[in-house]
Amino acid sequence: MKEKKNIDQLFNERFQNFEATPDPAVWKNIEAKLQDKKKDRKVIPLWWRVTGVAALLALLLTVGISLYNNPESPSQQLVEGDVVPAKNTTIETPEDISTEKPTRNDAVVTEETNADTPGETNPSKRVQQQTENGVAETSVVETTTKDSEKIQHRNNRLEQPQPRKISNKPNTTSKAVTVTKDANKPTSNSSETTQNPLVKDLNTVVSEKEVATVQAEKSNQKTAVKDEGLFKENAIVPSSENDAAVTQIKKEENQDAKPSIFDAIKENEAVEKQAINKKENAANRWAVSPNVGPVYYGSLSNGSSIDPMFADNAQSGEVNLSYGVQVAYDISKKISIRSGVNNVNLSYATGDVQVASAPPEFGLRGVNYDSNRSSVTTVFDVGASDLNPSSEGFDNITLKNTGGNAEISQRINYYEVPLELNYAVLENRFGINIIGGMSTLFLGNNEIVVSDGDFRTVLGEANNLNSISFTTNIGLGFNYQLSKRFKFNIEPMFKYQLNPYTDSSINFKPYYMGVYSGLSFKF
Amino acid sequence: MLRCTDCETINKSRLLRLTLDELIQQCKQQDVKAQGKLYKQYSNVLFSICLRYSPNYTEAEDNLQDAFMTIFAKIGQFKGKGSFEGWMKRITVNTVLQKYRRQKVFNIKEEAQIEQPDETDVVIESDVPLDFLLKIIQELPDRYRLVFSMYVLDGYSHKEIAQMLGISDGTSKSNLARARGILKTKIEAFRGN
Repeated sequence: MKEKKNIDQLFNERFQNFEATPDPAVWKNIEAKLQDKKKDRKVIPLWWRVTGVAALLALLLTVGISLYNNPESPSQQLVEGDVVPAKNTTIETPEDISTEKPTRNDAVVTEETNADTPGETNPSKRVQQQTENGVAETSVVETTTKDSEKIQHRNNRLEQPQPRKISNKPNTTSKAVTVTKDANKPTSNSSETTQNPLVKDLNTVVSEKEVATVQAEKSNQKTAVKDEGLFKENAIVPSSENDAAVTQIKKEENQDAKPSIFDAIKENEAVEKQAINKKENAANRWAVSPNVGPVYYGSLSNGSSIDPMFADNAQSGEVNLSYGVQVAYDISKKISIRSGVNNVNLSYATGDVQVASAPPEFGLRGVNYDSNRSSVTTVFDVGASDLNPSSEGFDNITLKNTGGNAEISQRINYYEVPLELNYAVLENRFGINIIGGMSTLFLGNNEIVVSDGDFRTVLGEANNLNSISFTTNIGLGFNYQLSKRFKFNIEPMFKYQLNPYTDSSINFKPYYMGVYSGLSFKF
Repeated sequence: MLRCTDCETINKSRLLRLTLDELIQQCKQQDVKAQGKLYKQYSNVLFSICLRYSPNYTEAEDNLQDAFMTIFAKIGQFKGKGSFEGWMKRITVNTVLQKYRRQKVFNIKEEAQIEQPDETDVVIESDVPLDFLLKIIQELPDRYRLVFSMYVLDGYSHKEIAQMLGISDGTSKSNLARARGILKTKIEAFRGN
């Protein structure tokens, strides 16, 4: 059966009821994708929550570690202060290496002997005191050895492990005394001779509590010689790091004729606590706050950064996300300085355009096209009258029909490092702050995209963005004290870009506004 | 118990009598089961479009997949104006066009300048197998295939084609003529064998 037919007619007839069944795998793929999408939708908020929790945990951990480490540093200071002169002067007994350990004992012992010195004029008093001290020392040994265990524990971590320490416990106090006495060595040679017996005496005091008084009397007899050294010791001790606590106690002891050693220890502890509190107060000047917020990108002028021809087109800023972490330091009660790093995404849309493919010379001025291509996707103003394909020189521009709502979207990603001053206007449970400063922006990714419904093409990167630019920032900070350390912040900020473009003739003056919220943690 | 079974029967019959509107509503809520039903109902029709617009079977399947993903993503935008099938067909055509219209713009331009073959009627056997006809369509260069399918098989005008492909009316016409010429030669060669 042959027919004379138009080729169109033939195909038309044959394909009229043409249907074909696709492979079942196609639906399986689609199904999998759909389910992935569903999961994605649920996963995103969860992912945010997980990240938030992880960030918070990391934060707490960092803070926790730094807080845990802090109390060790004062003890280390004491160690350094006391040990250094001791090492310089004393005979290097093997246990000496562990002199860090008795540092606290050291302090206490010095106090006692110091308390002794003013009593020089009154021998009877001194005897009494000395006996007291003798007894006291034993109690000191008891209390301090406990302490020293702790200190040891810490020091073990900081310094080289000293297995001997534990076994030598009873000796340590006497060694401590040795240390203090030895510190006198360079200043008084006369005391040198009396030292060893004294140490021995003290040793016995330590080991035999019952005889403590007697021993103390004995040692007291020698204090006449020792005093000379002690006197000088007084001059030496304040120079050591430990001085604050020691001298204070010394003075107090001088005032009250005979304070019990327990009081002294208590006072000592109080002083130590004060010192720690001071440290804490000083440390509480820091605050760290992760933050996140929507940012709106806009321009104060009509120009276009993409191509001057779009200057009068409909342009609108878009809302994106900025997130990051800030660290603040309180300079004074009212003023704090802060910095950090934020990831900022900005985007800006230009409408009333039509898409075309054309030779590279018709490309947009602000776009960095792939130079190897003979044809590029470009965008023209809808009103451009010179695009008639018939007019000369434009015959190789082909307009694309994309639906009539094409728009160019410029997306820029910056890494922002702010440096801002924060002035507290109101500082109650609810606080108000004025924030001002500047930011350095490091250019991350950027792209210029043209899209219309289904149609979407990346034109390329902008070629006129500075890799490093600056903004001036001003804003308000509102915070609410959740607990002693935690504050909830919400900060509307306005940031004006100073030099976003390499070409200063571009009449596009972008700014961005963000409302950042976050939780700050003081430490 | 009786009530329950009644309910089930009612539900079942409802499911069976599920209207297209209801199916669309369910798809709008991203109900994967409903989406599966929609796929079952329309995949054959849409796959035939994909086959005619794609260079081979595998790519046709890829395009069908993309088309359905777009349909499911945009089904919320279907406001019930006009035929749903027509809407899906348009999406399918657009999906395929997006993939091929940007390719080989310059090659085709050069070819378009080559003399245009005549559009006289040809004597051809009407029992040429459909598979063969599909094969020779798929073998056409991208632009020719799109223009031919759109104009001859899907009834788009040259103006519409020009707009959708971002080419001029003249280019569309010359592309169509070239496509016809190639197809005619191939059919004649087939008959000769």
